[in-house]
Amino acid sequence: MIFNSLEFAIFLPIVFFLYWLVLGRMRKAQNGFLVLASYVFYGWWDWRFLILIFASSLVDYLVGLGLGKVADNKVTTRKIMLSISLFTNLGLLGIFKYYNFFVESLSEAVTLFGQQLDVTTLSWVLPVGISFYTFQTLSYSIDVYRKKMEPVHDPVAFFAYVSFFPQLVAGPIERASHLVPQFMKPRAFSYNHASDGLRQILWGLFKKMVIADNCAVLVNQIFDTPESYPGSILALGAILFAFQIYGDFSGYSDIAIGTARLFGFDIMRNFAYPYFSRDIAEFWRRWHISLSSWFKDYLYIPLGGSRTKPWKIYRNIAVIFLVSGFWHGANWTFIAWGALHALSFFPLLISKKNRLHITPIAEGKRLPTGRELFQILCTFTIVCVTWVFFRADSLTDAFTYLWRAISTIHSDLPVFASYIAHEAFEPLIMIIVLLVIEWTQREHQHGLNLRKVQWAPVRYAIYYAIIFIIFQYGGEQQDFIYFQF
Amino acid sequence: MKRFLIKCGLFSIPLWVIFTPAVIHLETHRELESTAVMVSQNQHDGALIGLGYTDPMHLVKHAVLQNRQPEVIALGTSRVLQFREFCFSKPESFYNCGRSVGKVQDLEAFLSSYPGEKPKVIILGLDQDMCSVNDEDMLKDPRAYQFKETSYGTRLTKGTKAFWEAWLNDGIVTGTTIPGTTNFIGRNARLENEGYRADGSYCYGRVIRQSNQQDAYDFQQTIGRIDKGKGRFAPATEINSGAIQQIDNFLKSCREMEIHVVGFLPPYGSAVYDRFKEDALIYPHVFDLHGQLKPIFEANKMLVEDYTDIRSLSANDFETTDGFHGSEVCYLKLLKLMAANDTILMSYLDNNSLDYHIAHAFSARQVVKELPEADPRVPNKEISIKDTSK
Repeated sequence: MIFNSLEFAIFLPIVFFLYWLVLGRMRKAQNGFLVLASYVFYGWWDWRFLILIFASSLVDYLVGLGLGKVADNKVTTRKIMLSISLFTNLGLLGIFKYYNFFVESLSEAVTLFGQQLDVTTLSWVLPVGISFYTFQTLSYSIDVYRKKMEPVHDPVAFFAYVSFFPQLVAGPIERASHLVPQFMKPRAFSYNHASDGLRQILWGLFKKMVIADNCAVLVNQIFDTPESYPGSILALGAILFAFQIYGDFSGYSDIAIGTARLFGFDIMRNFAYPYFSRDIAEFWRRWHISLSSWFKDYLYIPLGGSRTKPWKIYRNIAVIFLVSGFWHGANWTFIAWGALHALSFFPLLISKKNRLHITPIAEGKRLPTGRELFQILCTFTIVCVTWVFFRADSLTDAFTYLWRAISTIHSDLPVFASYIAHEAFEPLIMIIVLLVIEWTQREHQHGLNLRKVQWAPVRYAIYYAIIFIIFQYGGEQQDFIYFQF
Repeated sequence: MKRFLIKCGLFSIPLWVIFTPAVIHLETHRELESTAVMVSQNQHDGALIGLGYTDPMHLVKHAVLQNRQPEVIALGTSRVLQFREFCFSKPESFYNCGRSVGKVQDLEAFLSSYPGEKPKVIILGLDQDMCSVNDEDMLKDPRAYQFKETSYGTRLTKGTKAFWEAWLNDGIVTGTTIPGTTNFIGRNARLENEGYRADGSYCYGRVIRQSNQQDAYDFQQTIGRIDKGKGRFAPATEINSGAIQQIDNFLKSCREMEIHVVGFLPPYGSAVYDRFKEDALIYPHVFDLHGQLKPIFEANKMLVEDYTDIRSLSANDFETTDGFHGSEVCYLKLLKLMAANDTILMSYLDNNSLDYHIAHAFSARQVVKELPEADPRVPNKEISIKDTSK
């Protein structure tokens, strides 16, 4: 089931009513009901893969209980238990997501030495959201192993944490230490919490259905046949993809966070207006925050983080960017995408300017300064170049696309003008609407946080205007990009 | 909680107001069926598909091709929709893909995405305006034929949007089901007996049932459009060489795939043809197109015929549905003439049946009686093979 579907529009109110009106004072029953609802939500896509979620949840639940019982001085036993969790979750990922990539890459490498290797590839479908829920359960086992949290004894609460439907298939990747305690305590309905959740859902739907789905049509045409377009349109294609993926993924996150709020849960923020970043370091503090912080806590810091020898710091940075790229998909294009971000980050690290922009941009002011605007544009340009690798089917395609974009950028400008006027006009207007609203709301959690608008009719007019835009200008329904990860 | 629910209820009232009448109307007329249901009921139960608000027919027809795997197809715009399966010796071997293409760029796209085994013969209607240098469609991308079933929610949203646009522009057509209409999908099928049959041809219910109110055989509507010189009737200085090249590419692709193509320029009513002739210099795509197409068809060992003037078919102006669409009877004659010059096409036809149907056509518009006609006219039953020699 996807968020921008009629099925979800029916599913959500039913679950909401049963959760609050029927089970309102029974925390355990509420948790059990959430597990059931989450499994229905996931099984709507393919019920057979529910067994993977169940297996992942069960293993980590048992590992957690085991770690709680083993004394601290039995280091080897504790390590074995953690290894069971790592082996199960990374094993699932390895088989379903990376097996074909590894055997094909091995076969190609062997071919370079004049040998042939017969490999068997798997034609399995990648289970939706597997990268998200395996990382979520892993965080629990690692935190219990590190004694950062107590093991969860209530199996229903733990299963509800792993399968919580708002963020099950595309994040945010929640930490057990943050979300599990919310399942353990009674919840009370909060009007402000729920109504702000609805606003965030509406804003997420705008980003997904108006921005991402409209950009997707043009992006698919341009990236499928780049040889048919002049460089200027290819450059535009990269920009449109930047907004497609932002609208798609941050839109999903907004709907997930808003939906969780309807049920009395707070899940972590995943995007903080990343395209207003002044450098790549700031971009990574604002883009896919839950994944960046996951890698920081469970990979970067265990490797030594920034409190080690300088060469190790660079190595650690390179590792997390490469692994982050590889997490997105089993293709060299994603690894190249991660490597390019690492290369863009190193100059900031060397000059010790990677933590220069911690405060919100133009804080307390209406507009950015000329310098800030220039920094934003430079950062956005770098990000757009890297998105070409992310979107392309192969490294060759990515380099060909970029070379054609650069070498023919000045040709066929009338064609470019005609393309803007006839094909891209509507999506570009909507992107401007998005940027204006997000700029004015950049100090708030999401684009429709209208606390400053005191007069209710104006607020409601804005909500109806957004609904009208979604209805009138919503594009052809597309799958969420991050489902494939 | 109570406050939240009350506010949500009040907030959603305008949404109910927008969606409820649209959903009731669209569901009553079966406008929201999935492609799978449309294909199944059209092919197995003979349901007429006549949607009033959306037009996914090129995708529906593509899905039909997947199951039907015809040997002969008619390909073109609405100006090939009059070919019927009963003209062929094996009716199930024919399918009419009329309106699957709208411009010359679509031809290659259609062929490259053709599902399953390719047909043996394509009867290709080449609208004259497709090759006009002023055809704005030449700037557009080819159609996408990748079939993807849309969700009910998507169909509902699109249908609701189209419903209110129709309401704002022309008002909503309401009415009751035409007596005897049991198997329909869509408003036009239900209220007007208009839509696509199982063989892909089109039933012009409204035109036939209200023939005396049509543009009265002197084609004033069509001629008025020529006078305005807009859209498909826009004048042009020359034939579009790019369009000719695209057709040539299509023919070469067909030849490589061992598909035989029989092309024709579809007929205009005689009054319309005569009106074009008054300004022959600014309509080169009407009068000179055949001369440019013939060499490329011949180079690929294929035939293209020019039936731009309906009189070349020994047909009269009653055998039309409007100024630029011949009737089924007219196209029956066209098919017979074309097959007389093409042995491959002839091998798929039943010549005796063609002769019988031409001789016993119910009226100028209907070969066999499907619908009552307010003003049935007698077709000109004479047909002369030698007329094709032009």
